[in-house]
Amino acid sequence: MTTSAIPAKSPAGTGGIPIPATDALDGAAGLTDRLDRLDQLVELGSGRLDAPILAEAAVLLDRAGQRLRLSGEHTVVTLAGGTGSGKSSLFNAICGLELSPTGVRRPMTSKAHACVWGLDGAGPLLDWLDVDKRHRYARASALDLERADSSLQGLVLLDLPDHDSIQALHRAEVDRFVTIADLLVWVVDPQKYADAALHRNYIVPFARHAGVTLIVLNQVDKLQPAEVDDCVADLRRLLEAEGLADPRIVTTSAVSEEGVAGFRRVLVDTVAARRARSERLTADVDKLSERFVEFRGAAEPPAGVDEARRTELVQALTDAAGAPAVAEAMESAYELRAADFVGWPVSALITRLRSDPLRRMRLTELRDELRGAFTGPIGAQQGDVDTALQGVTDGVVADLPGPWARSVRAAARSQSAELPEALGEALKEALPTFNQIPRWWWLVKTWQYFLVLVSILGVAWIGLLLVYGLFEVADAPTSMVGEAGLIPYVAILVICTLGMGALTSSACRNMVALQSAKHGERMEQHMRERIAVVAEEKVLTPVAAELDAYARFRDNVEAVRS
Amino acid sequence: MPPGAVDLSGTEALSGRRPVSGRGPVHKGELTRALTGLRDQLGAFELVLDVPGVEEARAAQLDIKAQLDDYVLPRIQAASAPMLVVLGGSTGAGKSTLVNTLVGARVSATGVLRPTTSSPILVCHPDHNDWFLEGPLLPGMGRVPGPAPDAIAGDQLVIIPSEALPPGLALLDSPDFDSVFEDHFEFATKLMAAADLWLCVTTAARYADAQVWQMLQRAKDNGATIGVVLSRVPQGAGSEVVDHFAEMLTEHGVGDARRFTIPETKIEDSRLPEEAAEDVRAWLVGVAENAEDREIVIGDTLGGVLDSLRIRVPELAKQVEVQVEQRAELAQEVEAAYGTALAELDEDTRNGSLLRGEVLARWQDFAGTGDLLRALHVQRGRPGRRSSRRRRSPARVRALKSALRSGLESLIIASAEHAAEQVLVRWRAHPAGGQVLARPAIGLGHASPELSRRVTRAVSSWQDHVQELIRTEGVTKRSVAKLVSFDEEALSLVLMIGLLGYGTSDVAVEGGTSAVPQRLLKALFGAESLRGMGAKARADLRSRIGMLFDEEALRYGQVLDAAGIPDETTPVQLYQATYNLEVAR
Repeated sequence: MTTSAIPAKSPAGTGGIPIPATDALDGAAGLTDRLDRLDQLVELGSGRLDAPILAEAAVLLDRAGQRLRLSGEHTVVTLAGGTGSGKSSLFNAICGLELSPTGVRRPMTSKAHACVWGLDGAGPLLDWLDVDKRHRYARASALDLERADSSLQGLVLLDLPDHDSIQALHRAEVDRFVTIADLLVWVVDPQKYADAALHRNYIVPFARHAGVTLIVLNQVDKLQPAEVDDCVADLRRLLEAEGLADPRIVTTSAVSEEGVAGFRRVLVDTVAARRARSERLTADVDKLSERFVEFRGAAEPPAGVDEARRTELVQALTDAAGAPAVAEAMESAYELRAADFVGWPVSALITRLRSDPLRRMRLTELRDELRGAFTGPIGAQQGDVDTALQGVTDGVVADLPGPWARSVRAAARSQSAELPEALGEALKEALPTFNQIPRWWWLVKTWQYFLVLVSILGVAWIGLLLVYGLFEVADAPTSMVGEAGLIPYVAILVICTLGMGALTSSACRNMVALQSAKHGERMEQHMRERIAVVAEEKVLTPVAAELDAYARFRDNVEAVRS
Repeated sequence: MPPGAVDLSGTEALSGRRPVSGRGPVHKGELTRALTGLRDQLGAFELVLDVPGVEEARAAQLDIKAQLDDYVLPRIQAASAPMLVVLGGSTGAGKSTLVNTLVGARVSATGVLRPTTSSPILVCHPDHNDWFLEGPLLPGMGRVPGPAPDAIAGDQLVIIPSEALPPGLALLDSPDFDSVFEDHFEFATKLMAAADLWLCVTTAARYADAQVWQMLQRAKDNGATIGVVLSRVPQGAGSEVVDHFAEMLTEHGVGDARRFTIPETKIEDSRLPEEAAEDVRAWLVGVAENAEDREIVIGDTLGGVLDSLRIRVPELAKQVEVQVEQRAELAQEVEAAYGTALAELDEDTRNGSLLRGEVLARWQDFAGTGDLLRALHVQRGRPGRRSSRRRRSPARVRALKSALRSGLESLIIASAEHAAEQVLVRWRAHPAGGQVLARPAIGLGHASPELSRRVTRAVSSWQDHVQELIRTEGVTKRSVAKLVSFDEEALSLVLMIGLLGYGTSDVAVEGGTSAVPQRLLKALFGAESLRGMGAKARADLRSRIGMLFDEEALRYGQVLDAAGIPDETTPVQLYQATYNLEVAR
């Protein structure tokens, strides 16, 4: 029987070995899959969920990846417990040698000691466990061992410092090891088995790890035989009350030789099964996945915004962009422009001759500037846009857990700053119908000016008739201007022409009004369609994407929990 | 309580003496008043926010208050009551066994199941039985006359008379302080705070447990007189452990505590062999029987406790200050959020960003079709006609007015919504904020439901105000006044459009209509008058919005109030109470 220090670097090397894809013995297949899903969870959750849980998941993923890469032939077992419970004695009893110092001073052990049965691949594992090289021991070769020892082949037994002494460093060391060990062995003694320090800090937080937890009631030699059963029953009751399902308890006594046999048997079984590694990680994943449940709502999430809210959104955005007002303004502009063509120039002249306040204020140029006010739609009210976006996700997020509800809302608003601009652009695209000038306007204009010409000619004719026919100032060059009796007829002609002009104007205006109303309607429709497209692109798509992320998150939570 | 009103039966022999020498009755009254004041102060606030160190502070608040009630006040009033020795220690250390041995009878249950003792057991001389049963000590706990019944609720004090103890000595077997049962820890600390002498019992296996040293430290901080018993010392290894323990005691500043050692021995009938506990017994009885020694122990402890208040209360007050600070920070976050919103709003109502969408379209419609010019009339001096004209084309004016109103409204509401969200975001990011938010407070993330009504009112009254300004202050230039009259409603809109920054945004400049409203108004009113009106109108708008936001921000103040976070008077009162106590001593 020999002991020897393990070389720092074993031939197997460290790291770089891919995670074994399937290892039936290890039962790691399901675990790797769940870890993959957990990885996706972290990815989906980042930026959305609370940072601590994500950090925790990342740490677990990291640790699991490392542990799975390292020797699956070995089972890491930690002996932890309070000061004076006899961890080191137990460790020595299992090893069969005085490897870890024991004594009456408290606290005794201050550094973790490791003993390895079977060296292959153990080096990197111990490096990873970060056990001080001076405290590594090995039951080296399987050949020169007794039969009992070979049955422990693959065991890495760690003797930890206490967790409850005044040395705070010890506790940190224990915390580090219990998060990475494959099998947690808690060593308690009749005096300390109900200590709050153990139960509150370790048993309760690791209650889900019942499958990879073993409680060793040590120093039973200090009790009367009859008292042992009472004590074990009390301990079991305590553990069960703390949520440890079916706790495994063995009693030991490092003083008498048969005292550790039961414990040894459990170790042999655990090492032979080689399941502790994946069971431990599975328990870790189980425990963590429970914490994700609160971020996974019970109700199936909707795939997107429902039709009613969609319509509401488009309506609200349409209002925000002021589409009806824009259409109306465009109609006014259209009619004004039309008036230039089809209006009766004579009445326009009369209006202009009326007293004009602007002229009196020497601001005549303002009139033209005001005419140029129709610059078309510009953007939309940011406030209205924000309000429109406020309500759109209300129905969707009702059943979502808080962080997701927030992220969906944020998604709806992700592009709110660009929306006014985009809406303005959408409206502009709908404008061109208004900017064209129909050909018949020119015809009417020509006709109106023709009528004006006729009127002027008529007036001139009347003038000539007055000059030549009535007052006979001179000889009429032709009889057409010499006959005073023609005056009423010409006057009637002029009046008719003027009337016709006015009539044409008002008829055309009516037509223009009809047309502009039609244009307006069409344009509003067009705007609505364009706005719907913008809404889809800038609001609904991001929302749907976020909801999709949530749906995937839910699937993954389910997968991780299974 | 008037001085000297307490008379203790059965303690006549000692009643002439005061716990701390040199204390007159007047003094006692003052001291009681000061202590009662301090106790009331301690009960008057709650440390609501979870900030670092608050757990300790909460515990300290309860501890100090409990210690005043349980120990200090009763002890001052009943100076001559027996010396109370409390045995505290780890589970399984053998406290009950030690008590049984000292009393010489099985008064407290012992056993292998942990924890064994769940209800505190007090053993005293029969003469003091009544005082402990009815006296002012530990007023929060129920009393049960001994012997201990089978099932007792945890907060019952079992009183057992025993002739084995001399008068003037009472032993209290307290529950452990380190088992899984949290209420045991609570009782252990409560009883420790009430002890005249605290006897810490620990074992050879446990003496390095962190919990033991925490309790010793606590006892020391609270001013208790301490004795230490190291029990279950294995045969043969005695001196190594005892020496190490002694070293550790010195290291932790309790080296001067009286030490006893009890070896691991056979326990018979729940008792140690007499000789094992002889040291302890001799010491306790010695102190109790010698009135002077006893008085010194009692006086030391009381003095120590009062001394400790000098540190403990200001420390607590500091934690309260932290809470007050946190509260102020949260309130500041609200202010900052709304302040930012208001500043942004101010900017938005100035830079023309409101002149978009419907407002702009309505303005174009109003200005471009000539309705704006129709609001100006050539002065003909016939009022009747003026009013008939005013009604001629109100449609576009009304449309523009309502577009302006709804534009402003939605801008204000959106800004308020944003501010509310910001407050929530800021609070969530604040360490103390999450906790305030955890309370059911509906709709904090949104503007209040009545906001839209208020905004509508505010904006339309602003519009009225602007119109009023035009009417009252808008004195047209005399040269113009002779020629032109105008429609106030329409012009007030022009003024608003101008105020909101028409012509300042790039788009309008591009359109070549820069500052049309300004030029028109300037021509009508003159630059100076226009500037005055503009400033007034803008100030009015800002103050109205400011008022709205103040009301919005008020809700958060209410939430903070409802959360019960102490305000800045609390720490001041605590300091004052400490000072009063010092004066009274």
